[in-house]
Amino acid sequence: MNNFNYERPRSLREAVSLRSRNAGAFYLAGGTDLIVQMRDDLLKPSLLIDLKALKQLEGIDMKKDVLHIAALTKVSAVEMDRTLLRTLPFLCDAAGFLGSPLTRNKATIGGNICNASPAAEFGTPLIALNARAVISDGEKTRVMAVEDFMTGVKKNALKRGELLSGFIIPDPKGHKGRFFKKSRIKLVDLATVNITVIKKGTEYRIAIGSCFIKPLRIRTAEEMLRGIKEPDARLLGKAARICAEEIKPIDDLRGTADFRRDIVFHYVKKLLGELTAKGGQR
Amino acid sequence: MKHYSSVGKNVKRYDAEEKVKGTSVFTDDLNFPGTLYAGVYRSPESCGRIKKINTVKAAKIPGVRAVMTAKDIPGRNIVPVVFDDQPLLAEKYVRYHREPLAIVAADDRNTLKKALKAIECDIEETEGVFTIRESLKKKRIVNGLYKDNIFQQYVVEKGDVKKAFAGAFLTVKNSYSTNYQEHAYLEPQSMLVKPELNGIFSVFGSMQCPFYVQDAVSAVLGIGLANVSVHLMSTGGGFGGKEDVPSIVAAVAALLSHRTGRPVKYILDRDEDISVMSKRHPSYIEYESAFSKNGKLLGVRTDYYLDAGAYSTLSPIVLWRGVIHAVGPYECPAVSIKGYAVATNKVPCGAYRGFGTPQIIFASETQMDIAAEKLGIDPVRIRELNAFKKGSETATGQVLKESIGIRKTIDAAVSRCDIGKTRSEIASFNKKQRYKKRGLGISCLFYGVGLGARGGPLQKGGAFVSVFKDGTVQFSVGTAEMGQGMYTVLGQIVSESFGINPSAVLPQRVSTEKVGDSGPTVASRATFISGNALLIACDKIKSSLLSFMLSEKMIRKASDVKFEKGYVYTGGKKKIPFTELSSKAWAGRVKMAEYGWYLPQGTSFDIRTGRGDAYVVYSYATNIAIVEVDMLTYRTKVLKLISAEEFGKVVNPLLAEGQIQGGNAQGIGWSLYENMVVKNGKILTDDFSTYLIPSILDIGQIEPVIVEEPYKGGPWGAKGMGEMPLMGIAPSIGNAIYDATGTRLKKVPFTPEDICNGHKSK
Amino acid sequence: MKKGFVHEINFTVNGIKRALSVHSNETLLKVLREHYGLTGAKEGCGGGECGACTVLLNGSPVNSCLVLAVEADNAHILTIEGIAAKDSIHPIQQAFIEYGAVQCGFCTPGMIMTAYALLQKNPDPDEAQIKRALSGNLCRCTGYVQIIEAVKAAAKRMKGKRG
Repeated sequence: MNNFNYERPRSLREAVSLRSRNAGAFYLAGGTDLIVQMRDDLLKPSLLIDLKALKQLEGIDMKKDVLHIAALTKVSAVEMDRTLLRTLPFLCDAAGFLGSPLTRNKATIGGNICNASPAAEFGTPLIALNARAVISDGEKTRVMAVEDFMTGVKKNALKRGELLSGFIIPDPKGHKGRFFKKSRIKLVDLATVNITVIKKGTEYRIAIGSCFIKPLRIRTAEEMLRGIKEPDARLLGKAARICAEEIKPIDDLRGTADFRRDIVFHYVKKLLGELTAKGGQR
Repeated sequence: MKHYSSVGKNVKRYDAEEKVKGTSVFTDDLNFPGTLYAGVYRSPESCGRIKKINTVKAAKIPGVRAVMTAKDIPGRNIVPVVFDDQPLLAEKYVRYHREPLAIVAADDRNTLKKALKAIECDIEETEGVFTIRESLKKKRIVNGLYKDNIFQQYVVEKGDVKKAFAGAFLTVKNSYSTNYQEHAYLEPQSMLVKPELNGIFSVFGSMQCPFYVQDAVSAVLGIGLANVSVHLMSTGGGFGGKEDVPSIVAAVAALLSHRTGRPVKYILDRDEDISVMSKRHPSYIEYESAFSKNGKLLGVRTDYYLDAGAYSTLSPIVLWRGVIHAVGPYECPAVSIKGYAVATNKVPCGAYRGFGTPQIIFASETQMDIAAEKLGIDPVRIRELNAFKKGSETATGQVLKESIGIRKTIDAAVSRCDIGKTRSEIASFNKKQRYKKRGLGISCLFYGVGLGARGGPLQKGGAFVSVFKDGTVQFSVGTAEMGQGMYTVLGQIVSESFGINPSAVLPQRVSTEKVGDSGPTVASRATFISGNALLIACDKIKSSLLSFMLSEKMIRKASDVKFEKGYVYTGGKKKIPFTELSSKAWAGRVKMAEYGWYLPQGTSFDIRTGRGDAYVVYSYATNIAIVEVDMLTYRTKVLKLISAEEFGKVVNPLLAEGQIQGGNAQGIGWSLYENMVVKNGKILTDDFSTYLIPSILDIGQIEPVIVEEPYKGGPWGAKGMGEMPLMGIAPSIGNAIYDATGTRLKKVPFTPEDICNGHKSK
Repeated sequence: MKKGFVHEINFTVNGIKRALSVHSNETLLKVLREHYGLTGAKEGCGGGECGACTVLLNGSPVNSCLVLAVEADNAHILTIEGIAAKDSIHPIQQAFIEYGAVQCGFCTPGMIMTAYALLQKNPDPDEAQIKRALSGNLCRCTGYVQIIEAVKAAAKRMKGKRG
């Protein structure tokens, strides 16, 4: 690991200004991915801006039916948050599937999304929830869909001089959802496929990760199901088939493309089935 | 039956307390002032001719103390194992990816990293040989020393195989293959070499075989064996992975220490460790079995190929063990077993728990199941029908005379599992569940204890025992403690001999300074070999004590004496405390420090004919696996694993259970999760996020069952057991997956993709 | 407080307040092992995948190979050396010995630290919770069975003590 400058700013403005003044600067959130890359000399920051002191960037808050999750909230905090466990338990499930407990005690939800891995655990639940990323330049904020925030493998929409401060989930109540992660081994492995499906009233949302350069919503399938209270097995199968066709997976160490399509087909169908069947609580 | 006071008890590990407190000293925890850090510059190509290695830039970096290539080696440029065909540093050709080309010592790790990056090489790349199939075509030769790309081959033949197959009611023929397995000991390879006065080098490290390391350091430095003292540090797991390769690690550190006159530490990074250290051989097996209508095994014909990598290392003996065990623990009148260790341009494979047997057991035990189904015989029954009993003859013609526990292990596993009930529960589960299917599978195996005939001059072991005047005892052996609990087991063996509390017996750290070359710590031999050597030493001391007691008129005749419960019984109920006798004997100038030397007797195997007694004795095991397969993700979960193991008399049940559970877990890993991906000879899965070993969540219920069948020739009746728990897990899981899904898997590991494809093709 | 790549940090290690100059690229693991001789935490992979380097950072178990020493400024660190006095033994350590949960011992300090944090938060965990908590600590020797038994036993004893 190379040597680098290190700063722990006390304000958001200071953090952002450090970032804009230093071309080789990186924000340090949990560091569980960043430090590994630095160890292997894949990244050589000239400056690390540790956001640890910015306590306003940590916490989960429900205000007037809008859920705020600050970017530096630890993954383990999302996993065990009482409000979330009640309202959006599948988001807690996703948190619980990120790395090992040791990683979750340090990694942050914002880091997971900024890092923008196609397999990012929070990718599918957040885009299925229509979550919005709150971006700050130290003074003003702008807001965009998380789906657009993640722009490609390891790429995000932040401009220099900006920082992801958190997420807004509008109207979080009344979602029934399921998170699913297929990996070769429990928990610690990266996903071969991950899927979030949500039903809100008669609106359906399907998001799939690890099958494209970023997590994807499959809107054709969603539209097909829209308005139908209890879609039958044939229709669910059709929706699942569309999902398996629309993804663009690759062969890699964690599975072949064909295998991924197969998993997506079976699991979208199964998860949707669970949501639409009577008693599908979560 | 003998009543034991120490043997058979769960005596606390000697090293447990230091280990839970974090004070146990592993190699990287050891620090001497001025210690340098060593690293290795490695070949970026898998195969080619070395045109140039440029170390000039690296040598100029401040803080770099030495950079060496092959030409700088003062002794011989070899890694001594069996055939001595491997250079420590490649000189003219590179034969596998990341083969060592140059070595560096620097003041700190960052400088070291910089220096390694500054070295450049020019290699004229040539096309390599990456599979067994390609290698056998002999179009390209991996190493000129072996013109046919075969390091070693064996043939074992018995009876009239042709006739057996011609007259058989059923013949079953299949091909099998298995992938690598990485040891993944949690402590990476580590060595520290320190120059002492008088031209002596002290080597401190993590290893299984101190005498191998001594040999290697002496060879590369060109100094006498007496100039090399090897000391075992706490060793963070071995599993075969610290058998031969620590020689390489020590040789690198020793060369740099020799050059700089400073202590040098070489600790491998995990990616380096996974990429370049030995592994379980990938294999390809053709296996044909012949059966009578009632399920008797009539004949076996098999060709067994190991993908050995670029150098022969331990492959000749790994292959031998596989060949000897190819039929399994069954009577079989006609066999033709051919084994080949094949050269490829990949990392050299070596020892891994089971040593060439897990691959062939996977084939033979899958064959058994296929035959059972075709014959309509229960898979348990077909194994019982064929299992060894007293007087049975092995494939090499060895007649088994005692301590043959295979049937006992079958009974024990079946009854622990309550197999009838379990099967009906599985059937009703499968009826109810749509997406989940359960199944049960069985496997049986045997294991030749110790090195066996092919071990040649290594079949020996020394021990030193010293009784002090206060009745406490110290002992030293030449085999290594690497976590398995050897110190404790041997301490129990010694304390049983003197009839004293094990807490009065203390092991000394293993070192080449303390006992003579005792061979390696492999082949489940430590308890058996070092235990017997210790008992020889103890008997010598006891015999001196007896003479002393006779001469002092403490006893009338030697046969009256018993050493028990801390006392020496001197006839009838008369007794004196062992501590008191020790003190008297000390005052009487009795020799209470003795050396024991044990040579296993009775192997007669002849390599040329493939006939004879291969090992002095065998251990036995039966495994039953119960699995659940998710029919949507095709992920397999082992719900329960029952492992019934017979290894003579058990010395420490808790430690033995730990060995079984740990071996079982590694077996689950090899069967289901550990999938090494290699492309053009380059290992792509070089960390724990891509090469996945089981976590605590991936292991179901593991139930060890210990079955005893004492062996006269073993210390207090013990045989050896460290490897068996891993060896038969793959076929038990594979057979269980078949039972659950109807998909027959012939390739290890059993990946979800393979189960999926098998399922779809039906 | 910094000068070039060297930073002055203040933190508490096993209850003792410490001040130290560290380089920005030094990890907490390195500092604990090399500056303080606290070698109980081990480097098994250097990439946060094995858990052998587990220490508690402000009460939560983390991989200390993925914590920069500078990040530990103002933090409380607890290592295996700090959970029991030199001549005493913590109930978790005792249970690990009795239940055979120790083989090679390389993963053991990390494993015990994670178990320690678990039992602080949840004095009465069930088997599933134990497994989940320990899932980031790899062990290649034991097959985990005796580790689970040891943690269960330790929980029981510690609860008994608290009354």
